Amino acid sequence: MSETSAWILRALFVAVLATLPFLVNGYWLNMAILALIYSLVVYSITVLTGFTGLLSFGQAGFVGLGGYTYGVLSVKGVDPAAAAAWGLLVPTVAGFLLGLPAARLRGHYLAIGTLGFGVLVGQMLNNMVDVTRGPMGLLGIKSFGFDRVTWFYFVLALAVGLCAALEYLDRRTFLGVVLKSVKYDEISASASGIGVFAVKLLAFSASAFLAGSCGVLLAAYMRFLTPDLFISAESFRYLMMSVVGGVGSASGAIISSLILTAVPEALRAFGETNVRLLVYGLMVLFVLWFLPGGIGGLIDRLMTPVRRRITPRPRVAEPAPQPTSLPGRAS
Amino acid sequence: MTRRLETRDIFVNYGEVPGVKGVTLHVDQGEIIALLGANGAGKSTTLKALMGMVRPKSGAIVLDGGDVTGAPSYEAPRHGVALVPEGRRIFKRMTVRENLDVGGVTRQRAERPALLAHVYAMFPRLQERAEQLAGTLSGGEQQMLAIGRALMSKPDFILFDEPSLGLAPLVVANVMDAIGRISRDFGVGAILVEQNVEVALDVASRAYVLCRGEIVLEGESEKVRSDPALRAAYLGMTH
Repeated sequence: MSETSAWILRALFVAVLATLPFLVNGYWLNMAILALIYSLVVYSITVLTGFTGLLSFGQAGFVGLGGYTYGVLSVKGVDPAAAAAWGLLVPTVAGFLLGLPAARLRGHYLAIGTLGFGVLVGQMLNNMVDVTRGPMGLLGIKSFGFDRVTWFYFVLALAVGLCAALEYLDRRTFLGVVLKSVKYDEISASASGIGVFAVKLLAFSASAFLAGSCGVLLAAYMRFLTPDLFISAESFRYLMMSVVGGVGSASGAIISSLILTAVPEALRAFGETNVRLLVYGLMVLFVLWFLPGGIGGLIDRLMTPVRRRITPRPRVAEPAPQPTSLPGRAS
Repeated sequence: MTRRLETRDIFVNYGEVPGVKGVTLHVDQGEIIALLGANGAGKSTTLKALMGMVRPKSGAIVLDGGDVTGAPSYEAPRHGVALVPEGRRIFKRMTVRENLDVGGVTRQRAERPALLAHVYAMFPRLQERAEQLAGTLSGGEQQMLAIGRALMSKPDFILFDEPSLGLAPLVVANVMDAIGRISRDFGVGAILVEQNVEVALDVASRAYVLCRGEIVLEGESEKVRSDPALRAAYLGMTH
């Protein structure tokens, strides 16, 4: 695939999405909006786990903090723009604060630590009845005054724009290289002069910001929140979306969010029983079986010839590497 | 001014276990010193202390007469001290070019192209393979990359932790040759931690021999080479 056709494919993907309001009914458009909103929290995993190598089982906690901050303030009469700003700030600060201890943890310990954070937020939302109304749910959240089609284009622009920004960050910027170095070898990164702890704090904060923005949009779009939207099972659903999309691939993340939101809905043809979820689970397993790199891995594989073409080929006449021709001997 | 990096009577413990017991050594810019000793003698621990990866319980890490003990490891390249870690630890799933970019992270953006050109001139193979994943390089090339990465920070001192580990003898000779050239051409002071005593003494001008955390022998390479205490330090090593 040439560079040009890759761009045509990207444009085609966005164009097809952009025509959705003309193609599908309100129910499916609603699903598409939710899927695009959820792509933001999948991006938050792309940044944290995919780029920086930190595993979080508590992303729903950040989504919940963002959503409820926006929701509660909005119900109290705060202007939606100000409420949204707070809804972004609170999870970001929480991400930073969680990062202070969590950035010192690795592997399983980090996973359990973040899981604890997710559970903590879920419990708080459930039990701080005076503020959140707990299990009764938060009603009367004000929105941005968009109609459904405007909402669709708004979240589409956000999701596609962020996707492009993250792909750019990952492939073309120095920060992308720095994040990768922390993911692959902390000791070497640190010895090279990278403040690993600071980078991890940045990743936690940025990730929490993205997850929080997902929460704000959910609250503003649905105008009704309950704590069980933000339980730990949701964190695992986001992780599943991320893994199917290929952790670390923003393009994979948005596609996977769309597919994994659409499929269980389409499977309602099987009725409302759990058979639907069984089929869904099997499908996910099969995707991972045949595409271990997820959707993003598949995209990369299709794109590889492009990269080979833009990279100068090694000189044809070059002999196979010989130890004696190593640079050390050259002088 | 010639810069000097030194440890002054450092003690490092791993929990209750003493790793290094009162090591005092120094390296000047432009010279290569060898740090020798058997497994567990405290060579790598001394390097880690110099890099700020472990904090000495007592004693000091001194750079140009100033105390830098306890400075975090990511500050070391900013002070002009770079590490070529044991086992190379290159970023295998990143390209050669990206590996070098990480090495230059402490330098100004405008400085990096010139540094990159330096490294490529020294190791042309790295330029040929710039867009290749570093994990696909041969062992020798990976070691060159690790050295190139260290050079990207424009260091005055490079700490080499077992650079000959796992390499074929011919490749080891190349690596040692490169270390010698770096020291000569760029005026870099090098500490060479090695198990391979002979090649290390060939390239170094002075040597320290560690045994169970203490320096048991130090001096000019040629004197150290013929000293029976060197053999004794490697108890069980008979040739």
